[in-house]
Amino acid sequence: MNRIKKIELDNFKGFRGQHSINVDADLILLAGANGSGKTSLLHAITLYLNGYDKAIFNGQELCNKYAGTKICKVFLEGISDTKDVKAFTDKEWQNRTSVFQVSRQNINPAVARVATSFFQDSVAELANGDFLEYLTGAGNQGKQILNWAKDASRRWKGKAEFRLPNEKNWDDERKKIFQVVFDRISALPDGSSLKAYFSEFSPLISSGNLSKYWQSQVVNLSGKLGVSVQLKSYTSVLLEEMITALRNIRIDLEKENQRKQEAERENQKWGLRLKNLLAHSPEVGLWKQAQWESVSRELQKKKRELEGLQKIYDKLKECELKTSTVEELLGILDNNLPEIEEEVRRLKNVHIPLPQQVSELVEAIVAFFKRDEKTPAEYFVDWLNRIYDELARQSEKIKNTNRQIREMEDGLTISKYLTEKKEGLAFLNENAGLCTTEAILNELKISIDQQPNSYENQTDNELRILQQVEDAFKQLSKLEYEHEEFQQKKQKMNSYKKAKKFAEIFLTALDKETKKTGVFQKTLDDLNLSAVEQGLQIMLTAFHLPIEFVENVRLSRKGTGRNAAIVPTMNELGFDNLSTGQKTIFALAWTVVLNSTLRSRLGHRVMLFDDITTSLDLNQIIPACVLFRKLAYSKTESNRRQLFVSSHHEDLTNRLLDYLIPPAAYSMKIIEFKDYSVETGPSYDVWEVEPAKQM
Amino acid sequence: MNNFNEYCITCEKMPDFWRKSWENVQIKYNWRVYRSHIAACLLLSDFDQNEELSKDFFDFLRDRSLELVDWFLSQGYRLPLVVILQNEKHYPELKALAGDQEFLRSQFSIQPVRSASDAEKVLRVSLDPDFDEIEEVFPKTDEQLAKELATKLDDSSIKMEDMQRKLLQQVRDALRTSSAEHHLTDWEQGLEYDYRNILEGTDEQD
Repeated sequence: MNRIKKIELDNFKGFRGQHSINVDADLILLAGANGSGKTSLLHAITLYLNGYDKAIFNGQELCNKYAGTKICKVFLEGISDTKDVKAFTDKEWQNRTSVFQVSRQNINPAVARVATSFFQDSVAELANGDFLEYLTGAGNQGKQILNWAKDASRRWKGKAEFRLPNEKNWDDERKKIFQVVFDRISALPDGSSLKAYFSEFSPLISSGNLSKYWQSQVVNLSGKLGVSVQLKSYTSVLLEEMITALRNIRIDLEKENQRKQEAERENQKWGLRLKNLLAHSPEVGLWKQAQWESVSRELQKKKRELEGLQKIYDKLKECELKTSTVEELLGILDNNLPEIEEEVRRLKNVHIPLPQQVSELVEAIVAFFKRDEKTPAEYFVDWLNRIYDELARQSEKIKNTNRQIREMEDGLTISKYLTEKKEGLAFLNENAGLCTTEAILNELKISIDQQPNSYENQTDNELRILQQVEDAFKQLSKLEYEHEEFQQKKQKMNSYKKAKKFAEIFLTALDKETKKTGVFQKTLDDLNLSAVEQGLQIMLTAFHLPIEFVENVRLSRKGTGRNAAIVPTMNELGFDNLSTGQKTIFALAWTVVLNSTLRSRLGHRVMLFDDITTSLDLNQIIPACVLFRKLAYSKTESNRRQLFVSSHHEDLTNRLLDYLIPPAAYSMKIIEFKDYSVETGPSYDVWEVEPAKQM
Repeated sequence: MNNFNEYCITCEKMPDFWRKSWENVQIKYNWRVYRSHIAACLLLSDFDQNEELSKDFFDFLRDRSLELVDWFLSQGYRLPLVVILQNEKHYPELKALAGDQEFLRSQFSIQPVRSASDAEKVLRVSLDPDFDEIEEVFPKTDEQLAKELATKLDDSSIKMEDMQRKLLQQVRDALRTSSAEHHLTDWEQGLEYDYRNILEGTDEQD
C-alpha cells in the first residue's frame, strides 16, 4: 500500500470537473509550462497524504471557484485501506489531517509535508521548529511537567510573599493615595509652575494599578522637589523629606504671593485701587488727616515687628534645613543598635583587640542610647517637631502682622483718597473710625465692579492643592511607617519565617527547573542529532558539494519557546546565508533525510519534488537525478519510494527524462500537461516510458 | 576500490577508439569506468602532480566524457555520468571546472576530490543500487527521560539543592506514570499541607 495507483480529483484547484489520472509507476515526471497544473496536482497529493499544512495552503482556495460548488475532492487510490472519497469545503479541508494519522504519532502536517515533498516556492520552509517540537515533545509528558512547574511557581510565589490575616493590602492603600495625588495634580491650573515638579510622576498605570517602577517614580519626584540625592531608595524617611520639601515649596509660594499682591497694589491707580480695596475689605479703618502721622508711625512699628518675626522665621528655617546629617546619623544608630552591639561583641572576641577609642566610643553610644526610654533619635524628632510647630506659629504671626499692615495701609490709603473729593471728605469727617464698605459705597454712590484679583485666586488655588498633595504624602508616609513596622513584626514571627522559608525553597527549585538551564529542561532539550547530521552529509556528498562543506554540516538547537528550532549550518554558514542553489540543495537533502529518518511513521513511501530545475545549477541536475534514481529504482524494494518530479523548463525536462529513464524491471510515467483553460482545467496526456536494457 | 569491482568495466571491454585516445595525452593518470543501474562513473586518479592542467586537457576530458555517455546509449543504457577527478594539487582548478556550467551543459557532472577515500565516498553514493536508509530518529519517551534524569540525579558532579533534588526525583517518578501532572499535583498538595502545618506551628507539636 505504498504506491499511488490513481489520482482522483473533483474540482480541486484548477482541476475543474472530475479527473482520474493513472500514476501506477515508480517515478512520474510531470512536464509542462508554468500554470498548467503540475504543482496543483502535487498539492493534492500532499494534502491527502499529510493533511492541511498552513505553511503552503494558507489563504489558498482549494475548491475550484468556477465550478459552481463549494466542495472539492481528492482521492489517492492504492495508498491506504480507507476509501476516503468524501468532498470537503475549503474550511473543512483546513481541519483535515493525514489519512495516516494513527501511524503518525504526533508528526504534524508541516513536518510530514517537508519530509515528503520539496516545493520550489517553499524552499526556506524547513519546518525545523516543528521537527524540534516533535522530537522533544511528541513522545513524552515533558511539556505537561514544565507547565505544571510554571503554574506551581505562580502558586508558591504567593506563599513566599505571605500576608498575615489582619494585614492591610498595602498596594491597594498606596493606589488610593496616589490616585488622590494624581487627581490633585490634574486640578492644578494651566500654566502653574508647580506642574513641572509632577510632569514625569506616574506611579499608576492606566488600569489604576501600581506601575512596575512606582517606587522609582516617587524617588525621582523627591529629587525634583529638592530632596537630598543621598536618599535614593523608597522609604518612609524619604517620604518625610518629601513632605518637608513640599511644605517649603508651599511657604515660598505663599511669600511670593504676598510679595506679588503688594507689588500689584502699588501699581494700581488710586480710583481702581480704592474699588479693589473696598471690594476685599468688609470694614475699613478711616482716619482724619490729623491722625495720619500717628497711624503712619504705628504702621512703621508694625513693619519693624514684621521684620523681627521674619528673622526668627528664617533662622528656624535654616536650622530645619541643616539638620539632615544629624538626623541621618541618629537614624542609622537608632535603626542598627542591636546590630552594633552584636558587632562590638563579635569584634571584641578577635585576638587583636579593638582600638580603645573605637571600643569606648561605640560602647558610650550604645549606653547613651539605652539610657532612657526614648532614644536620642526620638528626642531629636521631638525637637524637630517643636521647630516645625514654632515655624508654623511664626508663619501665622507673620501672616497676621501682614494682614494688619495691609489693613492699616488700606485704611490710610482710603482715608487719603476720600479727602481728594468733596463728598468723600465730608463722609470722612463724619465717619472716622471703623466703617463698613457698604456704608461708604452707599454714601458716595460708588459702583464697584467686583472684579476678583485673578492672581490672588489662582495662587490660593495652587496653595490649596499643594496642601492636599502634602497631606496625601503624609498619609503615604504614615502608611509606609506602618508597613515597615508590620514587616518587622512579621519577620519576628517564627512560624511565619519558617513557612516563608519553606515556600521560598520550593519556589527556588521550581524556578530553576522552569528555566532553560534547569536540569529537567536540559534533559528534555538534549537531542542526539548525529544520525540526521550524518544523513545530511551523505545526501550533500551526492550533490557534489565540496567535501569541506559537507563535513562541516551541523545541526544545533537555537531559540526558545515558539521560536526554538533545529538550525542547520554548513561550514559555519547559516541557511539564510547560503546561495539560492545551495538552499535548494540543502532543502532537497533535508527532505530526503527527514523522509528516511521518520519512515516508519509517515505511513507512505511517496515523495514529491516540485520544479527542482528552476534554482538548481546545471551541474547539480545530474546529482539530483542520481539521488532520484536511487530513491525510485532502489534494488531493495523496502527502500524504494514512489517519486513525483515536476519541471517546466523544456530543455531541462528533456534532460531529466534522459537521466531518469528506468532500468529494466522498473517503471516510469510522464504526465505531459499540454494546455490549461478555466472552463475545462488542465489538459494532459499520460505516457509510459520504456525501460532501459537489462544489464 | 575493490568494493566497486562488480560495477567496474574493465579496460578491454571499453571500445578501442575510446581506450586508445587516452594514450596520446601528456598528463599521466589512471582511469576506470564504472556502471550500475543508478549511474555511470569515470574515475581519473593518480595524476602527474607536476604537470599543469591546460584548456586542451579539459576539452579532451569533455570529449571523452560525452563519447562515454553516447557509448552507453548505444549499448541500450541512458545513465547519468559522474566524472570523479581525484587530485590534491589541482583541486581548486578542478573545483572551478566542476562549477563551469557552460563547460558541462548538464551533459555530465564533475566531482573533484582530494583523496582516494573521498573518491570512494562519491563512487558509493553514485553507484550503490540501494538507497541507504538513515538511522531513524524517535522522540524521547517518558522512560528515556526518566532514565536520563536518574543518571543526572546519581551524578555527584551535578550540584543541586535538596529541594531541587526532591523535585527532580518526583519528576522522574512522575514520568513513569500515565499522568505525570497528576502525580506532581499530589506531591505539591503534600507540600502545601506541610506548609500550613509550619504556618500554624503544628509541625513542632508533631
